[in-house]
Amino acid sequence: MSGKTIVMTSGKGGVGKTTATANVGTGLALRSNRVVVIDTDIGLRNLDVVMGLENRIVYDLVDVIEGRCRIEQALIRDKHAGELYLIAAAQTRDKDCIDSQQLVDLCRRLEAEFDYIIVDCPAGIEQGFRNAISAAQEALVVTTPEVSAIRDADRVIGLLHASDIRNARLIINRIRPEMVRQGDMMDASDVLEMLAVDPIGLIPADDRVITSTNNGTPVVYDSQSPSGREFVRIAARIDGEHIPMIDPVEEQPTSIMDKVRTLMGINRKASAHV
Amino acid sequence: MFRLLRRQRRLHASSPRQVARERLHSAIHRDRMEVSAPQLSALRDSMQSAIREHLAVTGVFTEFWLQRDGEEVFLVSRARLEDRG
Repeated sequence: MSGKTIVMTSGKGGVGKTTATANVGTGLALRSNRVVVIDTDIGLRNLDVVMGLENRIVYDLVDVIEGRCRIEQALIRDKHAGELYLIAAAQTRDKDCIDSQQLVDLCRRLEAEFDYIIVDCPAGIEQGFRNAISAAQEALVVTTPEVSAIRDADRVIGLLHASDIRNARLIINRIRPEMVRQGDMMDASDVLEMLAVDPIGLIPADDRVITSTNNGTPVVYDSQSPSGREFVRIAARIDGEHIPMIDPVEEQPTSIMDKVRTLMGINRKASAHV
Repeated sequence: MFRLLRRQRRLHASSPRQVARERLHSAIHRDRMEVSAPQLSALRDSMQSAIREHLAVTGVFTEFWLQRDGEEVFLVSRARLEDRG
């Protein structure tokens, strides 16, 4: 098996990287892939909590890298998805305690056993970021339609290019269709025009993400959740399936008639962004 | 009617979305053109060796800087011709 390492990054903190990592990882595992998600946010780990695996951690990433345990001992198997594993970050160390080459070596070994290795990158562009991107063949850049998040995403895309990761794709998170329609928020086309990278997912703001995080169950399991459905589609796109991009602004019904039409299964607008 | 349309257009032009677009555009352009001192130094070294392949100039630029003009950037450099006399 020769797996693929994908880094989930953003530059700015709080845009939904960890949530996206948990959901994309779960989505890929639900498609019968063998998946490992690695939390590289050493000192500020959270991927374990989002996935509901916080009580199962015995060994962490630093233990593996410093040789205190074997890789298999640090792999925490997910409760629901069959072949989904987590390697948690160390909570009591700092980001400088591992280097890029060590993470590259680990990912190369994992690639022999798994289809996908998803690396959850810490916020910022310091050593933790450099470590996280070092092993990646592809990158998913998460942003929200806000000036500060998009600006940071642009900087990160530039740094990814400089590191020869030229196929970064964009996840635009927390789009608020009502605000876009009222002219209060930038839409997906504004963001894509500015960053000039291909999108892989347009995720609407969704309260169910909060409840799913509270429960430790990724929202991808919730078929009623619009964001969960988009994470399913993102996983399928990563897995090579061609699924048109669905803009939440066009998808969400605006009038009572639209809602009726949607209930009847018509008027579902899908638009492909190139 | 015209007054209403004009007011709508004015509202649209200064909508939060439009303001965000313009501010973001400006910030990103500025960021993309910012060059750190080590990067500028590396650029100068690369330019020197590239120019010396085509022109008989000394290995030292007497002037080397970047100037931004709207969405364009100028590289300003000055080098002394080699004295072969």
